[in-house]
Amino acid sequence: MMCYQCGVCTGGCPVAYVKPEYNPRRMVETVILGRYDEILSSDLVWLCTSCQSCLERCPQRIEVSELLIELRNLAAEKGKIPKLLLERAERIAETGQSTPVSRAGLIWREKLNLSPIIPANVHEVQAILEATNFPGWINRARNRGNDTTR
Amino acid sequence: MPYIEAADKRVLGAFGAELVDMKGSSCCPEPYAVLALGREAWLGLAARNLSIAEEMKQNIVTPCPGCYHTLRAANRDLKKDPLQQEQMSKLLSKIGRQLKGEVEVEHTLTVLCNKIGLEKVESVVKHKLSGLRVAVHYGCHLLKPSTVTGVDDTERPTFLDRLVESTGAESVQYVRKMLCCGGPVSSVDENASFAMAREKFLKIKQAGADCLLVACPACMIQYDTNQPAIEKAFGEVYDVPVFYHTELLSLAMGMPMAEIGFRHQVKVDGILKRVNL
Repeated sequence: MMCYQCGVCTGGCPVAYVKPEYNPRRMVETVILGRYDEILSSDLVWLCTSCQSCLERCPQRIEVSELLIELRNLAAEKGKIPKLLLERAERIAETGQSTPVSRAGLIWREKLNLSPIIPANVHEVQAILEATNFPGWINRARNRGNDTTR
Repeated sequence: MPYIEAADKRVLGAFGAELVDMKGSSCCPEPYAVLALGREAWLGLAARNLSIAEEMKQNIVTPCPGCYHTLRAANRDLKKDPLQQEQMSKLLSKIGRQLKGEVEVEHTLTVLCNKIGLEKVESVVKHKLSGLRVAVHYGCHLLKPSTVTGVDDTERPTFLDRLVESTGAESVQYVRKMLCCGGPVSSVDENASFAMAREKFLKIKQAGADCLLVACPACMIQYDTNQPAIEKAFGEVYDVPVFYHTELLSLAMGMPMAEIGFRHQVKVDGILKRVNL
């Protein structure tokens, strides 16, 4: 990775703008130096909105937002994943959908003359998730405890 | 938000585009939670969704830029990388599926601008929204990264501005136009998320726009549904009405607001009166 620490990523980062302790340039530096524990000891890696401005603007075409995803993988492995995201992942694993449809939503659909929802093929979804060890990752995140909550 | 689905289907339908619901598709999958836990799982679910469209011999159109980004990224990864392609083929075959890579992924807006064309859009405008000053918000995932979306200019795009102008409204330039809404991190750090949205409200008011326009359900939730909470968090009042792009188009096409059926947290009545609706 050929980062020369120019800081364009941080300059264009919407999160850094409102929260100065969130600093993509510094996170890349910490990765280059191999100080993973340092980054993973805080919840900062979960603050990326994945707006992709950093990736788009980096003069070295470093995929900063992708790097953050890898860091999130590492954090999740250690059980450090925000509770609400873990719950969302579990919902997807159980139902194939991230957001359940409320009864009000269904009535609304009728009022708007929308066709009934075709439910996700949960059997297929679960087969894919089993084969890619997704439930294993969820369990590991749950069991390692220390869910980072707000 | 069923009214978004209804508006997109209606607008595209007005140009003869027939949209059929995908059979048994799941969450795209949502990249934040799923990708963080497993890239293979993320790619697997995306590939399954792509294979459903392929089986139905249709391209995918989605109203959500997040899904647009996820499915296009998965599509591109699979087309680019033979190893991942092979991996996914094996995975899909476990559920009796296959993926040849024949599906294209579009967003309602890309269909409107690229496939249908803005001149045609202008032709269905029955009620010009003259005098309406709109601050356009492109959001992030329709544009970036350009390697996934194929958009030419991610810093100063014009297609959504031109769509708004085709309704007779004026697209107002403003500082921080390309700023992310902050929505994705609202469940992790609400303060930071709200601060990003606040920045947008302040700049829009500074520019003297009447309203904000979005093309993403998540941005809609952040700017409209969450606006009262953001006002409370900062002890400020913004009163920035938010329109969805196909909602504005539906209005310009002569459809009454009650029929379009959008539920707005921030009242839009004042604005509608201004353009004689």
